[in-house]
Amino acid sequence: MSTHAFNNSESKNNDVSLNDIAEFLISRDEIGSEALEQLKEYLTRVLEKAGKKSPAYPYLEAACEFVDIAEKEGYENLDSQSVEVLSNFIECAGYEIDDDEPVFDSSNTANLTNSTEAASDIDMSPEPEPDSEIIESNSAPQTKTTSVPESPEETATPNPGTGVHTLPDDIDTDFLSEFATESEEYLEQAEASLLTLETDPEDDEAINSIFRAFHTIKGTSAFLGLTQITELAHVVESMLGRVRDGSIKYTEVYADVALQSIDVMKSLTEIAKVGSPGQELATPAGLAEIHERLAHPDELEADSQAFESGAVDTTPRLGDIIVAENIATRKQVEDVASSQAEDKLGVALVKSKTAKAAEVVQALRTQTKIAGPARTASSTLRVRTDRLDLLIETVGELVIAQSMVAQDDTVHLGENHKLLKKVGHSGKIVRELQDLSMSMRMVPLKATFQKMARLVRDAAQKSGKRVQLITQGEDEEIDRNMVDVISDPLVHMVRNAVDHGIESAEERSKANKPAQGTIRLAALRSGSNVLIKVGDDGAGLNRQRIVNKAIEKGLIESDKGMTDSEIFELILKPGFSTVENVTDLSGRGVGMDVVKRGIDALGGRINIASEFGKGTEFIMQLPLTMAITDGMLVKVGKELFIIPTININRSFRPNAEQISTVAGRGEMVLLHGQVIPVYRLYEIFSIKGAIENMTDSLLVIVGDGKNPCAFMVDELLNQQQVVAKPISDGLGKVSGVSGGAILGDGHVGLILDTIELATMARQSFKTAEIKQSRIANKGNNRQKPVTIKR
Amino acid sequence: MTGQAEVSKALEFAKSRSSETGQSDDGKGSKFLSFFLGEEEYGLQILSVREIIGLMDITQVPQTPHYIRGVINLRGKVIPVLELRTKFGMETIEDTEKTCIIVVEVVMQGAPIQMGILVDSVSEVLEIKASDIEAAPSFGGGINTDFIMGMGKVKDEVKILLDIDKVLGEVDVSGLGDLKQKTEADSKQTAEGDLEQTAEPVPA
Amino acid sequence: MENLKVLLVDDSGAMQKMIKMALSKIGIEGVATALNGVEGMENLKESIPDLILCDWNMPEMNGYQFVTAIRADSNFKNIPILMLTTVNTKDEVIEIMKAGANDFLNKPFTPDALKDKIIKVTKG
Repeated sequence: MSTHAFNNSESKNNDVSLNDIAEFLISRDEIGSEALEQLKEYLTRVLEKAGKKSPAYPYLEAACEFVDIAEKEGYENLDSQSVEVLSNFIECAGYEIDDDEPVFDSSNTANLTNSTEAASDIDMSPEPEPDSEIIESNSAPQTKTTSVPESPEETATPNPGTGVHTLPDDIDTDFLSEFATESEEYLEQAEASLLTLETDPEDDEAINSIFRAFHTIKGTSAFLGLTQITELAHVVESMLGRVRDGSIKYTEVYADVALQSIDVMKSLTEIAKVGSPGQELATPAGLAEIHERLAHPDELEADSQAFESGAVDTTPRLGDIIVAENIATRKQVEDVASSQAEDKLGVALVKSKTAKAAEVVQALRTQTKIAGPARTASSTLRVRTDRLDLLIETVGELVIAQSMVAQDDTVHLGENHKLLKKVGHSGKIVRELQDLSMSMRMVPLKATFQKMARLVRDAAQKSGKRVQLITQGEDEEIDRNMVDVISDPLVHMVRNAVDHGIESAEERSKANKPAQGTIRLAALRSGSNVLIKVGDDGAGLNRQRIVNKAIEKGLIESDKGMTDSEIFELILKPGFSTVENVTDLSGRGVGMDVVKRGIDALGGRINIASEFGKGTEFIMQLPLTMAITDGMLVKVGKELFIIPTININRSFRPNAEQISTVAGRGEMVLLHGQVIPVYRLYEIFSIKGAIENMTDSLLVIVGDGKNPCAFMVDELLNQQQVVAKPISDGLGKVSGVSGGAILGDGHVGLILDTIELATMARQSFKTAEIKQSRIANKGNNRQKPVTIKR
Repeated sequence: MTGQAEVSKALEFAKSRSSETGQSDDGKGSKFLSFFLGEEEYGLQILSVREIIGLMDITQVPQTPHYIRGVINLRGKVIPVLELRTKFGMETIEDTEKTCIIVVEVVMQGAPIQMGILVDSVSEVLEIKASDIEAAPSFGGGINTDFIMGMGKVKDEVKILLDIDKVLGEVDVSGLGDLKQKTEADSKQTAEGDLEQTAEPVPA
Repeated sequence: MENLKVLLVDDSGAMQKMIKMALSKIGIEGVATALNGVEGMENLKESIPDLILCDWNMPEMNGYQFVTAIRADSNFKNIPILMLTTVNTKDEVIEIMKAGANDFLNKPFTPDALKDKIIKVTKG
């Protein structure tokens, strides 16, 4: 036996021993490409000879792989460090094969190398220690309770979720209770991480933390002999491992499995915790189901991919769309479908004149849209969100700094046209940069809408109704930071639609409606806003019931003169709920006021349209991003304020005929036949030196069509985008002001919250009334303006 | 009394020397930034002081307590500025060249926040030994002694050492309405007549 | 063997206790513990053990980072390291060995198996 390099003639005829490899490795610091080839060949041969059952197999297998990787990555040579690692593999393997005789003892080599019998001896030589138990795919688990299948493919043990399990007789109850407590903590962490993944499915640390939870539970439970727990932890860990290494993509299908696993694991831990040694353990509900699902990773992956492409849950059939669009009734569609089976439904519908071709085409388009466009792979780079936020903020500062330069008198009033041009050019680039950086944080609404699909399914199941969801415009993008914030209101509205909007199947059939209700979720862009509509074809809002409730709650005195939409908007008031029976899903005393508050916080608005018996539609209007507000800069005295453009209806200079003072209601302006209350901003904010004569001032009409009011300002300066910054740190909530923005000259301008401001103004008007009457009683006729002490 | 720039320099030096604890090198005393309100000299632990800036344009914020002068742009960050004279119920004076803003950072409800404190002028960075700090005597009205950490003796003079957390604490921790009542109660003795002008929100 | 000073790094308190019990069964009592790699490194600065037993999957500083850090430090690079973990794939085996661990032992293990591996990695 040569103790030097393998040489061809020798290797062809003789078997190779581990010892040969070891010596080959220690005889050199580096291994060149030729030697690498040989090394690989001999490793493979040793591996084959040892066989899968050998305890040395994992080491040898890894060593082969290691050389493989080195080769694939194109290393010309293995450096000394890699040689050292390889040597360690060989040493470990050698140790496993015969731990009494060190692998470097050459007297032993003959045994190991020259006869195949010797090799088969090796296979059986060591004690079957738990760590070395390698179960082949078809063999039943060994008798040792702690055995864990070696790889995910080998988990096809029949029904691991069933069968009788007992708590080991010798279990240490102290350890057991410590294990239980610890596991609960791990599982709670895992739950929290799952929630993180809902919004950011690519958060590695979150995946890792869930993986770690199951990993640790698996290890610890195995020590305690809690086989049920170990088995479950193992299969879940395997699944998570594949998510972690990127071989499968995390979707809601996997999220659901993980969530269920956590629940079942909690029950298992609970059961074990209260058991006594030797006692038979109960099998919690859902255990078998989880094992069943995880035992077929291919099916799971198929579900997952289907879910992702929206094919399973979110794409309704053409017929459903036709019905939902009121092109034909369900019965008509079903009749056509059954009578003209040879044609595709679309063709059949047109042939039978049930629907016009254009309508079918439109429906098909809707269907395609819902199914989503074909996936195109685009290369992406992941960036930490805090860095992205910082980038956007910094670019915001740059925009301001640039405009400060542009407005500087030297540039602005100066004679140097070249400079002006250069500054203008840099300004253009800066604004492009701003648009670009903003777009980096925009994400499609798709994920949010998909969550709603699941919600509809679950809620419908729970309430025993048949509901389908049709989504539109899920490719519209909004600021990533907005996604979280709109999610809650949306969940609430969709749940409401299922629970309270859609009627039961019987009620629907009584009302001549298809048994299956439809909820439409649509998004569309309008300017720098996005509209999100949640509509249902349910019972609609009952005006009288809302009125009664509102009167009962003291919200209104009577509905005299109130329009339908004014009435409907009452349901957005805190504590208002028209449904008597509180359901598990959306009752619980939390009403639509949550929705309203969420939308207000975003600087958006909400409108409700409803027709009794036909359905309800909520329309949310939201800015695309929270970071940048389109604002109108207004001047009052020496102060500058920003009014978000989204809130402004129009502005105008009133003439004397338009202005009137209504007793008990204050100043009013008449515009297009509508009487609008006027509030003087300088009075609300006690600003001196502002224009006091209304015909010299400008009125800014804010609020939507129903509750407009006018704010009186000196002048409008210009419209600009501002970066909204919180001012309430250290101040608490400042009413009437939603934030601050750094203006072009470096000043801080306050961004007005017009809705709150209107409420404030109404209140201070009442205060002024009271004060005035008090003053009048004292015989003092001097009209005192409302002052808010600063 | 030294100029603001020199005090700023001294402050930076003191902060760099005293590490995170605000303790001086020998560990026996603490360092303070002293400033004036009227004739009285006050001290703030330099640990909480971030920087001293000159007076700049302050944007008034409506609906805030009367001792909040407004907000400023501190390098792109919007921070509130508290007028210490008003907070302490002293008469307000016109701003002078020496008027400046001490930027402090305190932790409120677990989050660090920055605030500006408007004072008549900054004086110097002092080291006061623990043995030279006495408990605050009770004043007859005027300043609420809750704000006072102790009285520091330096040579023959006495400086009022403020507990910045208490001074600012009320701004945030208690709600606005709560605070109004409190400050009103405080100012009752000193500034009568203020109350009449205060517009209390009327419940709808 | 009985006098071995061992540093045990594992983020699970329950697991630490069980491993300590296994060690105690084979006569090893001198065990220091750490909850993750960061703590482990702190521990090493105070005293150098004869053997490090370490989990692979830990928060803060995981097994890979920990072992790599140890091997990068000339003061520690010769300390035998035995990873106590659950290895599923050959990639994991490679990763462990590449980081510089001397060997690994799959959880759960019997005290005897642990003893065997300890003798092997400490060459005693």
